[in-house]
Amino acid sequence: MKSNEILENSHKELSALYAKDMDILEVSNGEPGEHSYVIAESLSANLNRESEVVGFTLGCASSLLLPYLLEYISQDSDKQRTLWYSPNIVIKSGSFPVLRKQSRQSASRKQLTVTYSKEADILDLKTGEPVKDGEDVSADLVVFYNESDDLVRFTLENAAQLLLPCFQQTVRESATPTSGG
Amino acid sequence: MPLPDDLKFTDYYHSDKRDHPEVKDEWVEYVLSNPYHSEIQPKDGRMRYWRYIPEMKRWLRVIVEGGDTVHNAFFDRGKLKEWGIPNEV
Repeated sequence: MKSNEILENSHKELSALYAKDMDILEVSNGEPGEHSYVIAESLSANLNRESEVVGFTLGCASSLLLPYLLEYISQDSDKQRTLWYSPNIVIKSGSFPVLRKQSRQSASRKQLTVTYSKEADILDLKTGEPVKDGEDVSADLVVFYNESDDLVRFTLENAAQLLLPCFQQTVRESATPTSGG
Repeated sequence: MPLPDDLKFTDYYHSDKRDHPEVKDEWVEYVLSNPYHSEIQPKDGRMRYWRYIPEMKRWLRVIVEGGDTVHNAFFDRGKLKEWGIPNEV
């Protein structure tokens, strides 16, 4: 795989793009993102022209997510087969349109907390601040706001099913022993 | 939805509760006993229930799996935009 190739896994309305060379993951509901908003370290929300959230971009994606997501399939060979050899996988060349746009940043860069429930297959990317309310970005993705209406959290359901196929190349390479000394 | 005698909560609900301090368990039971609207999540079969909570001036969404286990609950900004404030309030 060339370094600038991007893995895409479509899952109904939600799609995930992963740029392996940059280790950046973008999850989108299919609407074009016009600008981004930094929520926390490594996590930005992508917004459309009307400033509605259409998805998120996550840096250091494999190191942040893979330890959690691999738990989902670690003891289930059926899941391994289904997720690693997903027919929905498409290899693309290109770059992320949103990343070229100017990004706005929250007043202070907040620390990102990642939590994953293996039983529920739910991934939470959050600042840890209490939330006031949330709204759907797509069927599987909800964005949450705090009392000040700042974006503070994404909750992604069926996370491993969507994301793991994007990381299959990374996992295979890390599992392959290197020759020589 | 008839509220089951032994309403349960998932580990995810409990672990996530500290990020949702605004959601009271009694409101969760109220939503499930008197839903304004419900629909199934096609991908995982979980049910979603909504009811307006006048004290909070927002719609509470409760997600239930297996008919008797609360999986998640949060105030739904999208439904406030979509449905507004109900006439009964």
